[in-house]
Amino acid sequence: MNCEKALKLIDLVLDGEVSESEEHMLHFHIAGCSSCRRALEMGRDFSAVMRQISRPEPPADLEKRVRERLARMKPARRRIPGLPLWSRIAVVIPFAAALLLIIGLGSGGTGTDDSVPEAAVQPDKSVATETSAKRAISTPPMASYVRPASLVAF
Amino acid sequence: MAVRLVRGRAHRKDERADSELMSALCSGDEEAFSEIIRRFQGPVYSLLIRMLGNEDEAEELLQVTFCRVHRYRDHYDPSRPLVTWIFTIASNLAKKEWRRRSRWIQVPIDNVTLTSSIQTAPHYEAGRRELKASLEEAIAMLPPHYREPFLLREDQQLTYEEIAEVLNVRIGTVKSRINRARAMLRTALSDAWERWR
Repeated sequence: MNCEKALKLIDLVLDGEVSESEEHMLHFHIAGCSSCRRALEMGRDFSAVMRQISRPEPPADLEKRVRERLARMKPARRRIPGLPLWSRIAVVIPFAAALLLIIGLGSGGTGTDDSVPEAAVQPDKSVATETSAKRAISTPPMASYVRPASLVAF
Repeated sequence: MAVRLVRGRAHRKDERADSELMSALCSGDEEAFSEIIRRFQGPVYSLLIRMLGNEDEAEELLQVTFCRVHRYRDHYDPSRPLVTWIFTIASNLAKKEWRRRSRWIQVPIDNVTLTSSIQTAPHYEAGRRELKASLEEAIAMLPPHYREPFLLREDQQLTYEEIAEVLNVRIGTVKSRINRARAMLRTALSDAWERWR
């Protein structure tokens, strides 16, 4: 075993991740290599000293400050449990498509089809009008906007 | 009487597991959130202060970390340890702070003269204190991408797998970064260690 391999094993020893056979090989190498033995001793001493270093104390009123901060924030959007983002989008797309289709049919495709007959654009004045109760606006019945099937097909 | 009861409840130790606390928080139990703060404020603050080297910034990001835990509690995956989720949030905030303040450029540790390397250790205790101070100083001089996995391993005692999850890197990368950090510390603290022995 060379020193490069030994240094890798020293780190595994320090982290308690080394196998028994690897540790045996390392000790065999260390017996004849003062440089690697020194590296292992240093690593052990540094870990021991790290444990003695006291951790800095967090502020005593941390929870109060966190709660005040949360109160100032807008509430986060709640996630629907079990539904990832892509599946939520997949659910919304057909509804959006259906809505667009309804709007498209409702507007009668104006401006896209030059062959729309006059009768389809201009409702028949003779047809009785429906009156909106709220706004008192007279609107013709929906049937007057529908194009004849034969014209749409040909 | 009522006040006494409330105080008594507040001081009682919460024995619930981390994942139980999170599911309780998701169900609206605010006392669970208080316990989460009590459990993790020390380790997270310790990491942040050593990563940022500034108490004010560390306190600010500590607050933001716990605010995010509360706000995004529904995003927590109960199959993962809570400690790695919270450290991931804190670590990402620290990285964002480094980027914002352009602190990625570090002085190479080999070029730093440690104040405690002056050969004035009069006796053993002073030598012990000296090594502690030198070690803290040398850790602060490590480049952030070496310092963070080293601290998560040595200070927080996280496993390689947990560190890899927190930092979103491969386990091999975690190992090599920790190895590199230790090698740098050995070089920087060689004299201080000899005197300390």
